[in-house]
Amino acid sequence: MKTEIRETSSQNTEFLLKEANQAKANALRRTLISEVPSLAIEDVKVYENSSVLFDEILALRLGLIPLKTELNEFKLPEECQCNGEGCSACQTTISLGGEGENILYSSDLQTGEGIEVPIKDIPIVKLVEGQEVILEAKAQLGTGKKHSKWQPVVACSYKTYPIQEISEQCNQCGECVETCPRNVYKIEDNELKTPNQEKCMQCEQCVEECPQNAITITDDKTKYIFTFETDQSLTPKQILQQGTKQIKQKLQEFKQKLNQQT
Amino acid sequence: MEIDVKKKNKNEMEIELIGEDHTLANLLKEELLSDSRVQIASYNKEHPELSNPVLHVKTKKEDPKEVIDEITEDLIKSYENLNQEFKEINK
Amino acid sequence: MGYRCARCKEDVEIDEETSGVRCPYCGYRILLKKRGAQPKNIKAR
Repeated sequence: MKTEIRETSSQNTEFLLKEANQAKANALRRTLISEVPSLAIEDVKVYENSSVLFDEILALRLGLIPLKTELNEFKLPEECQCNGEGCSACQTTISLGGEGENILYSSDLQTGEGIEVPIKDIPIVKLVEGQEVILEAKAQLGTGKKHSKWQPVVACSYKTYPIQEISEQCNQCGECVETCPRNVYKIEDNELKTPNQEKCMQCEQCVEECPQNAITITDDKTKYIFTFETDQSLTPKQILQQGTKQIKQKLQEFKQKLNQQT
Repeated sequence: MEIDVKKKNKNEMEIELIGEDHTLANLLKEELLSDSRVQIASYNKEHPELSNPVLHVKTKKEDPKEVIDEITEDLIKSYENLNQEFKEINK
Repeated sequence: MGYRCARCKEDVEIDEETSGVRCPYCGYRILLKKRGAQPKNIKAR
């Protein structure tokens, strides 16, 4: 399998998966969503909360705040030497305190050494005069499978690679150029070209509008256009590296167990 | 992940993938189907929460375990290649 | 047991000997229970 990066930034990415099939593409998508770990608040100890939010709602909001994750600095609690009891290898402490009149934001979280809150303007709770919040929380690694707060990607999806087949019946009338919602087509040097081939969403408006029935929309089943956005707990590169590594490890474990038991 | 070999004959095998889901099962099944030595490749998951997927493979004449072992190795190489290419992204 | 009057916001103490639910300062009969002293442990889920 190969890739071709179309665009990538600290938060988004769009890339091509080549020499693949639907199952390989889907395995990657599923792994990125539910098996790549990230850091999030899990246990909250509330000392004082006289805000309008219930303790549990406040805790849920804290859990959903993305925390910048260094995957090699923490272990999943199940895999930690402390057996999930909680130690410096699998968790970090975060605290929050404030009183009205004030709005507490994600930037107000007091984190430990090296832990960063990438998105600083997430409002957590609004406090008025006389209201106070004092709490201590523990953040851990987890996977999207356990709870969606640990899901590092947002809107991770792929589509098949579209191909517009233009037959010799084409007389360059330009109907398809006008009707295409994604501007896939263009007439250049008296020829119909597809400069935006990959933007095609296979709606087949062009097929319908073509008076010559010259267009057929099909796809290349070995290529997939992947796109996702992150919540900034991990970069797209980190997520893809970890995802492919995990699928490989899963397959290796399967192979090993298969050979052990037969 | 644990596996439980539920059936193993000359040409047929049924393997329960304990603690796994469609991510692995579908991947193995599709790769097996593209191999010409395979007659049947499918998986079944009886309950979305309470059961494990069971992979069913039947070959034309080869040892099914050998075929599964080989296609798994191919998949490992495939994802390793992809992993290497992602390492080279410069951001 | 620590309570707080819903109207005059004064602290009220109720124990086994107190008869009736009534604020001793303003006579209001709705009392709100104060938050417990123990910190509360919850999951952020």
